[in-house]
Amino acid sequence: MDGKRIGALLRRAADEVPELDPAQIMQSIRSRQEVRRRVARSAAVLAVTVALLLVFNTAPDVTSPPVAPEAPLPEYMVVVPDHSPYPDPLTYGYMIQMSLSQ
Amino acid sequence: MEDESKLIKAAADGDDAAFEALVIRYQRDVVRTVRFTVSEAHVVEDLVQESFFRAFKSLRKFDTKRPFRNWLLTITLNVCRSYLRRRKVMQPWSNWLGGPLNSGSESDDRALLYDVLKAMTRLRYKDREILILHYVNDLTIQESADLLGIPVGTAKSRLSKALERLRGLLQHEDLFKTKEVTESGREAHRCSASPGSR
Repeated sequence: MDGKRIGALLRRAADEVPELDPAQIMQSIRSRQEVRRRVARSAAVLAVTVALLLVFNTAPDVTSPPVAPEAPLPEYMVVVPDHSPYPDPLTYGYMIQMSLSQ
Repeated sequence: MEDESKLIKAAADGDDAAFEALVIRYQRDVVRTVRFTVSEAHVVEDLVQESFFRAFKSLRKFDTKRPFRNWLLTITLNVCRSYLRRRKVMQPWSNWLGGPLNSGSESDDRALLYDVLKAMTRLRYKDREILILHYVNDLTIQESADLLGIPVGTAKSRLSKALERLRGLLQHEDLFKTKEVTESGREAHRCSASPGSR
């Protein structure tokens, strides 16, 4: 059987393939478009939610109470007796606490 | 065609009626391509719809200087290829030919038609593809080569090898039928292929 005969048979078979309803094809396209829009909307809502959660988690001063300022550190004075034989005042002297700085 | 470029542009801009006109114009080509490529009737509608949907999504990127039909057929073949790759088990071929197969020369012709179609399903995909483009869709060798992205020489060689393999399958079918006639002593026309005949 040569190519021409095979070709003729294939074309005959092709003529008998039943067609589809174009309206049904269009309906299917519209449904798939609608599904894509819904998926895109859900993805957008999810992205906004995640962004808001990140904002609230990384910026605590926006929602938490103000932090009190640190208390001033006390001042100390090293007292070394006169004629002390010991050269290192921090080891063999003593310290007295002065009043807290204003 | 100028009116087709306008239709395509209108469809790309969101005109549903314009796209529907394209569907009506080309659905036959798409349906035939799918029907000859996949053997199962129940997926034809899904694959045709998927092909048009992908074309609809990509319409803005389509270059109107190219033939729309060939571009649509490329998308259709890609959809069919993806389906065939995903399909794990080979499904039996479902026949769309109507009419009697049992008596008269007209039915002998139909029986031969049936044999050719059944043999087609046993060809590997690349062989089927070139036969479908050239004979079913009436594309020239040049157009088939452009669509498949191969040189013209390769397309010619592929077509010639595909025909050779198809002829081989048909001859094997004939031998099988002849053997049955000799053994049974009666003329019996069996259209089922013997297992492991590839």
